[in-house]
Amino acid sequence: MSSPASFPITSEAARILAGWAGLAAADHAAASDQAAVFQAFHDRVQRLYAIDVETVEFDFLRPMD
Amino acid sequence: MTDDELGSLTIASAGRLLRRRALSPVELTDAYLARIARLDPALRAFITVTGDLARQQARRAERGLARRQWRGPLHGIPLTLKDLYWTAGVRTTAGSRILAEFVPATDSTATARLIASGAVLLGKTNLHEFAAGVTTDNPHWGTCQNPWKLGYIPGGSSGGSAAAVAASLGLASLGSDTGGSIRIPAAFCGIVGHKPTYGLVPRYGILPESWSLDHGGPMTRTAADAAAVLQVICGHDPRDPTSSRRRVPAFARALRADLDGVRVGVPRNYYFDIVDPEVERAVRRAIETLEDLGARVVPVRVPAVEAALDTCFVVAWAEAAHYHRRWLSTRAADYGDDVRALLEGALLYLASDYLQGQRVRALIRQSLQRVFEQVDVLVSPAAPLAATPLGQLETEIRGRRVSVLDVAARLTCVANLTGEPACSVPCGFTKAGLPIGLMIHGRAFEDATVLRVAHAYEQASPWSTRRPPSPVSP
Repeated sequence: MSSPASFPITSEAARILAGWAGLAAADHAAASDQAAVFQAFHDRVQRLYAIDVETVEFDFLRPMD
Repeated sequence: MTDDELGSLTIASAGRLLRRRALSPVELTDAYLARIARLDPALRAFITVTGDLARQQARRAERGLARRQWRGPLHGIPLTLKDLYWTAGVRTTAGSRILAEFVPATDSTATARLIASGAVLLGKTNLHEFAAGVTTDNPHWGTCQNPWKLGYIPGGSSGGSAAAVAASLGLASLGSDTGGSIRIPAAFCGIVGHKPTYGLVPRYGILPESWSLDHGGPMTRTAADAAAVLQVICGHDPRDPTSSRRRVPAFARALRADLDGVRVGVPRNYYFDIVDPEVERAVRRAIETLEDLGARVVPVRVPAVEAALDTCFVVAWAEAAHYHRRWLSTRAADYGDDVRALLEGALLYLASDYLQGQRVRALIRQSLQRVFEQVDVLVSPAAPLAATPLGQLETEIRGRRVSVLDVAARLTCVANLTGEPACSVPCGFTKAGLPIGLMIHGRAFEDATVLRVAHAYEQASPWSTRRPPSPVSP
């Protein structure tokens, strides 16, 4: 499974993203930590996009019965 | 009752003594409460000890036995609940500051069924805050310790439940499992932890982490005890929309069958790629034991499973972030740093990201269904490593730096994605004296087969009778 290229999330970008997500404004140090977390979350989901799911229906509500 | 006697008990053996009135539920409960008072200040397995309630329930159980009104295998059995299960009139904190004062008006379905079966509630156990981690290093209610080695994590998120059972602070506990939170601490603490099929155990009154991945289940000394607890808590509940209407089998009866002809799948990919060598040796030996017991070992490939951890991560955290959204904007400072950071990160996931996760999940589920056309169960390590020192976020396995959170959950999370049953049973110890867990993963609604294999292995191996050493030995 190959990972698509990532792009860097800066502290300033993290502030904007945090505001968009409804989070309280962070100071500079916290925004830097937040940027690292956001980056890790972004990278993880990008790895999933490398998987071909065209043939798969969205079926998680299928009852186990 | 001496500590040695207490330490050797299981639900089955205590139940026999209680039923023939060779042991009183009140005496047993008092012995456990005294042991909790002595050991828990060091272990921090409990958030709330319900001594008065336990004595009241024990007296009721005793009166019932005096009238020959035996309610079943849990009658008079002292046990604990992860502090995520609603308990009427008893605070249910989820290991958080945010819910520190939350006192439910009603019991969870599982709580109510345990009480109706005559069980005695000793208390509510510690957990990773909001069940969102594997260390149970809880900043609000204390750092839970591994009874086998203080200074090491008990695993999580049901770490207090596992530590309590391992240290003989109760005969069983209920945990919850979203990516491995029953089986990881069971493996790290040397006990049995069973994650049932999705829908088998109603989740009404269990505080959620991730609706589509959460499961409630038993944590016990033995597979037979897990079967006894599961029997009581499973079955349809209309208050849980995901609850199954299937007829519930008699789990204890299923344990009597041997393993002749059972097809045990051993994965050729992924499951042994990142595993501590001591863990791998113990698990390979356990597989040989299963073969000696009559099982047929079948090497199998499990396609698509390499994406399991990322998929579970995206789905679980996206659902958790939705549940926590209001508190994240109004009470962010009340979260511990690790849980807050992860929930905030997950708030950024788009609907498209979540749906990609769910579609990859369907791919993995289809893959496992095909594997279960070839075999009856799949066996592997429960966790690729044994317990790590407290505070250590990364560790090294075969020269590779790995995150403790990621590596601990990489094998357990598969059965959360598929909804299939999976159990961890003790299969050895490291040279450092830390327990190792064997995972047995089966087809949906074939919990009885999983427990049968666990029970047969347990009967043929010495691990489940071992108890933690001093200073927390019985």
